[in-house]
Amino acid sequence: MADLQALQVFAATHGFGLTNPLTHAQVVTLARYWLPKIRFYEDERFHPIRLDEVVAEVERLFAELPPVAQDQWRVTKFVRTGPASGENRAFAPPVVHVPDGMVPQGNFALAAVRVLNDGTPARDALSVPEVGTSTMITHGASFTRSNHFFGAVATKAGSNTASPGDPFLPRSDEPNPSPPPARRPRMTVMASWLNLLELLEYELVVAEAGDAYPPDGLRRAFNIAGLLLRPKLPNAPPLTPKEQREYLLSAIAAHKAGNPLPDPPPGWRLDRTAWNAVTRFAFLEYDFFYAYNDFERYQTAIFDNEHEGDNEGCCLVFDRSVTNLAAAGGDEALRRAVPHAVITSVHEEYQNADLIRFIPPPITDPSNPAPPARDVVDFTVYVAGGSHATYLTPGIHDLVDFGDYWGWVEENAPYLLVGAPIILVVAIILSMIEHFVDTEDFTSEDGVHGGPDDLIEGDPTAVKTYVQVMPMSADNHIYQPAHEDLLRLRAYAGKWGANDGIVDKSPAFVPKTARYFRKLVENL
Amino acid sequence: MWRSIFLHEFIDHRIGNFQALPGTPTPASLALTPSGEPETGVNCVAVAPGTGFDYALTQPLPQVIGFSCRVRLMYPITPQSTLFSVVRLGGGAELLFWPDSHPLPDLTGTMANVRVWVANGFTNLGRVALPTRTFTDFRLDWHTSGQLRLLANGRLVAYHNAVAPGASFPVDRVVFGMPQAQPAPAPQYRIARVFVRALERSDALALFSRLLPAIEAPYDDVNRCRLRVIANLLAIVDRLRAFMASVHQALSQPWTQQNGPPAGPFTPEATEAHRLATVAVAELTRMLRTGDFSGPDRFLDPFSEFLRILHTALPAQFEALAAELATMPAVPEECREVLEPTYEKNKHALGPIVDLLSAAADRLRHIAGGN
Repeated sequence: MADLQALQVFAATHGFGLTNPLTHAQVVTLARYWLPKIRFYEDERFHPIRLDEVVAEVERLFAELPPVAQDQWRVTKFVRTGPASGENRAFAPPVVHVPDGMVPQGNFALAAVRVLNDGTPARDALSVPEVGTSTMITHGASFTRSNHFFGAVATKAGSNTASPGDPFLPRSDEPNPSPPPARRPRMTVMASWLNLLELLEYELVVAEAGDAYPPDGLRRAFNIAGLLLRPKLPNAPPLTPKEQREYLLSAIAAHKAGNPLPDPPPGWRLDRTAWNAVTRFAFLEYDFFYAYNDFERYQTAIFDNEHEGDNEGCCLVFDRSVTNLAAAGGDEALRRAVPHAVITSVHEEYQNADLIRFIPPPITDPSNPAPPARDVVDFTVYVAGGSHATYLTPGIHDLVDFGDYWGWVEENAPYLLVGAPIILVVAIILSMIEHFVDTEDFTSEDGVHGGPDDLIEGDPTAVKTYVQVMPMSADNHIYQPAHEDLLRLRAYAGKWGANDGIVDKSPAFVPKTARYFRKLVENL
Repeated sequence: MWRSIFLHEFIDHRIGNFQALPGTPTPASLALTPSGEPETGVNCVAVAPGTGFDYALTQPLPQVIGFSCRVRLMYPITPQSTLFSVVRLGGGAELLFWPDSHPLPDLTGTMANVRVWVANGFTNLGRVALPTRTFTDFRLDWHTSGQLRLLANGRLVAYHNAVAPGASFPVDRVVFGMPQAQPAPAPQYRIARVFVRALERSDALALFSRLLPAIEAPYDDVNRCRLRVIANLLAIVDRLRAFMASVHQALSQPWTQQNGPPAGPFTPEATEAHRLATVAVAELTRMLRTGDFSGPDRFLDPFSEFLRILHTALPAQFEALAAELATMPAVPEECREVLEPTYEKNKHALGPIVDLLSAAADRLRHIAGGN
């Protein structure tokens, strides 16, 4: 249930605040200062947008169409019409729906859905009590549809074909303060500052609440207890989630009080590398949300990846001892705080393709004040065309996958296909597939450039880039009533898109903090 | 996409910051320190006899039938001529260079002989230039059908069509540089990127499976039917690879950039077969992903034309193989009663796929019949 009030009460009761000692204003300063220079591929059609645009832009553009032209953009869903009957019906996009059981259709059954926004705004539907992790919002699940509502319509030079130096411009735009032209394109990325220790503590408290804590797209994704508590021996006595939580909460309390840590449960040990990382670091995360992932438009790949709602991004790792000190010294001091590392997300976490780059501490001259950190640290990311995987260098990137291959055979049972008449055909197809060696991502310097105004000023392909900072501070946070509209979107725990195939890649907007943390710890 | 084994891009100054299958580098490997190459600024490691990176996989890959090794390398001019190793995959594969003792006349680099070890023997792949002021991306690809390619900066520089056909070998470690050699001051060279992919005998089946709908597999598999069926299928693929090795030898020839032959390594039929296979698999992939089987000819036509090229290349072998494989048992009789109920239960999802593949089987029989 999308019970925003319950989330707000819980946060107030438990003293939500993940940025201490940084105030929200200081976080905004840092987030704007460190906004990465973002390089897009020239042929990229989908650029980062705000969550509210996912809903609002579709509704606006659909409403602007003449009625006769609207029909082709309606989204057809199979809905229940009775206990054992159903029918396909077309709805105005975007559609917010929840599962509604199976409806018998001859020898098999079809999954029905219940549409929550039939004739009402989709954003209001996100507040309906049934909304949860199985909810989906979609505008039709195809490149054609996403391109209609969100895709770039022209290059910088006005062409409909992009080329290096003449990239597609973002579809989102706004009045240009210094025309002409009258309007200018824009992009928006989201940013969050998260002290890992406070985040862990809050997540443990949320977990302690169990089902009493309503679905929340921001929560339950920082599951790192398994990294922190490890068995001393393979036959260590089992540790229940409750025992894990109680120990970790007591360890956090002891750490905050400056007391010795309690002994871990018998047979278990606290992983010092992971614990030190939790207590030492804070993440400044940047989320890039795209309306559509059209990776398959770029190449022939045996790698299914085409879906609505694509959340990618990167993260700066800060040492809290540095930022805590800087926090007391004003904005100039904050801008001198050098991050410890940068991490980017590349495709799925199980592929182990994420990148981490440690930033060497600058050599300082004691007789001069430290320069602004951005002067000595280059923070540029390169977004791959279509897939939006985020890299640290331009060019062609071999797409890596260190995941488990055999799992697909176990799960999808190809042996069921192998009747005698077709086994030879399957074998021939397999021998053809053996020659598909590569899958690649393409990044470039020659597309749209985003970033802080002062760093992209004068760049011919620069696009105004905004940072929407998620308020996570005790003095100003997303669970306060003033941010209810933002919370409605960000706490939405369902999927932000459908896919056009049989492989479900549709994502919820899950925070990547745990993923970044795992990448950091394995490299410390 | 072949499975990734090891990727080191030296993106910072930590030698331990790389991506790989689970495993452990030797302690000596961690003594390497990436740093910027003075002229290019490219982050890299300098290796010499006695130094390098040796990474042992926790779970060795038992049956590797293909590999793709890429190494970004810079070799400074040196007056010595010593064979040196660039990259090695366990005892199964190794890329070695043997540079001349004198530089090119314009001093831009050195020519080197290329030797490759695959499975159980060396192959000489001709000569390549090793630029001395820029990094070169070398890529060595081998598949058990006998094809071996060497590319430099994306350009094919050497090809062989009969290197260890039918071979497979285990890979238990990835090594770059010369950690096992006796320490010596030369030859010394720089490595800025190492990426290794491999193909295991069952990987294509896994990739194909990835495209299939997820279904509930039978629980009462007392005869271990799934493993038996998979084993039969992989045995047939083994036979096909042996046939494809003959096709490659018929439709291509060994070639080097330096010595030719000028016609290049591939006949037009080989190029066309590659194109058709790519189109056919792409269409099949799209159909499987979207569940849209309304245009079967988009797959069936290029698939048939691909087979027709193979048949034209080796008609007698093609027909004999088709006849032989048509009689091979796919599903043991005692397994049918285990698997068929599950198939029937999932027929709405699997039926269109079986229909498409049955149509492909019809075309295969047609071509094998000489039509």
